[in-house]
Amino acid sequence: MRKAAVILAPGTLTLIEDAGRIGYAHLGVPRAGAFDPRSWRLANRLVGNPEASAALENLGGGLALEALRHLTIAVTGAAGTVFVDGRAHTTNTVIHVRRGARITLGPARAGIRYYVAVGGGIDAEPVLGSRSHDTLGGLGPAPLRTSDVLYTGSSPRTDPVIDHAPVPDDTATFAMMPGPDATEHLLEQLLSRPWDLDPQSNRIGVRLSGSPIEAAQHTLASRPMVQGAVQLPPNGLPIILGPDHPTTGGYPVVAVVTARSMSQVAQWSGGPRHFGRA
Amino acid sequence: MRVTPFGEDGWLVAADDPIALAAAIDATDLADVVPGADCVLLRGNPQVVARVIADLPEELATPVLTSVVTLQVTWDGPDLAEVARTAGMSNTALVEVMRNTTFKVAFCGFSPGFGYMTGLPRPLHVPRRARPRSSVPAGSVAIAAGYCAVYPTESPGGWHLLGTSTTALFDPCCDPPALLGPGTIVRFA
Repeated sequence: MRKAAVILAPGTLTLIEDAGRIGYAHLGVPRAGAFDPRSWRLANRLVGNPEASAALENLGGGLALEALRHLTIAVTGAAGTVFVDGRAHTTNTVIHVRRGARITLGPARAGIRYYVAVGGGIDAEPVLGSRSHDTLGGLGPAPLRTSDVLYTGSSPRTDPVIDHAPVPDDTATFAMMPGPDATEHLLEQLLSRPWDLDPQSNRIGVRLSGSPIEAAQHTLASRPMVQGAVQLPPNGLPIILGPDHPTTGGYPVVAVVTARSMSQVAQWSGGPRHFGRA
Repeated sequence: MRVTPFGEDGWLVAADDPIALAAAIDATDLADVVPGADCVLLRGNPQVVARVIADLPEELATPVLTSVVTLQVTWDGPDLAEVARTAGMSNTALVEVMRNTTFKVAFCGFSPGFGYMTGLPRPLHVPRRARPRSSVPAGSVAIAAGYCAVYPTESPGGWHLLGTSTTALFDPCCDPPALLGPGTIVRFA
């Protein structure tokens, strides 16, 4: 473990995330892990890390840190400006930072979750095989606070092979497949109307606002859940389960958002969206 | 055997006894095998899941449950008297019923190490509280909706609190990390 940076300000919320805890769902342990895996993997690839390395997940910007040695970093996910000692850099690019430099994430202009990868990968004590913070169970490294020191792994890494990555334009449609409780009537209602983002949303669940869905069945026997499941609580407003969702639940599941589209869900900052068939 | 796809890498297998089904599954090459109240979720590569399902025996053997946990409980829960009144019994009788019941963890959920236990006698099947508490202390022994559970950590909760146990229920450094996993037999003293 090598000291890499000190946190000057964590912003609204900055978490350490990797691929998550797999294989403990039967004990009630959420998977957690990066909410937008596509951006998280890209950040690691840009700095030459193994794709599964831990990185920072920052909500909306405002993260400020000071490099304690020379660092290679990349910021992906949300679109915004990365300032290094006041000089503006773009996201999705490799940035070399000298010792003592101050790195700041500007406000997210599009999307809401930035991923910051540091060459060597963020190191922290793994819990049940993962360095991810789980906001439901509180497992894994704690949310970052001012004065926290970040460490990176000392494992050798390959040099970056690209210095800038094109990212696909997100469409306004969340691709889904029918869920275990889907009926034509429920799917028709989910697919035909626009949905907006309820500000109460978080990593446990993304809540939708809009015209409620009429459902016949309100609760079922508790059953295991998966990330992306579109649950229908009694108020008829769907909830898309995020990475920290409880492992079982009793509301009907009308659809499951594809893993690829979950990256879009993770970056949704509001505005009307539709569901479409995968 | 009824199998329902659940997302891109999940399948729900319906089961009368999810613990017996989960015990019959070779989990080696699967990401997760998760029991629920009336089914088991299998997650993994589609070909592997298909093979695992094809290999399941027609008749499931009744699993021998070897994990038995006895929890010392102080019966001081704030909802004990109200539950006893609803069930038409004295506080002492309610505690006796809880002490004489053998519970079984059917599945976990809600939070790490939170086991939903079956076995609760009928008179104690009460709905969740109308107003959930914003904070329930760790170790609270609670009942609701036909289940009994012990809160592993402090969390919000809507169940009726009957008592308190000081036994640690979830420790990520232990293997397994949860004391009360699916299939564990639980008694209260």
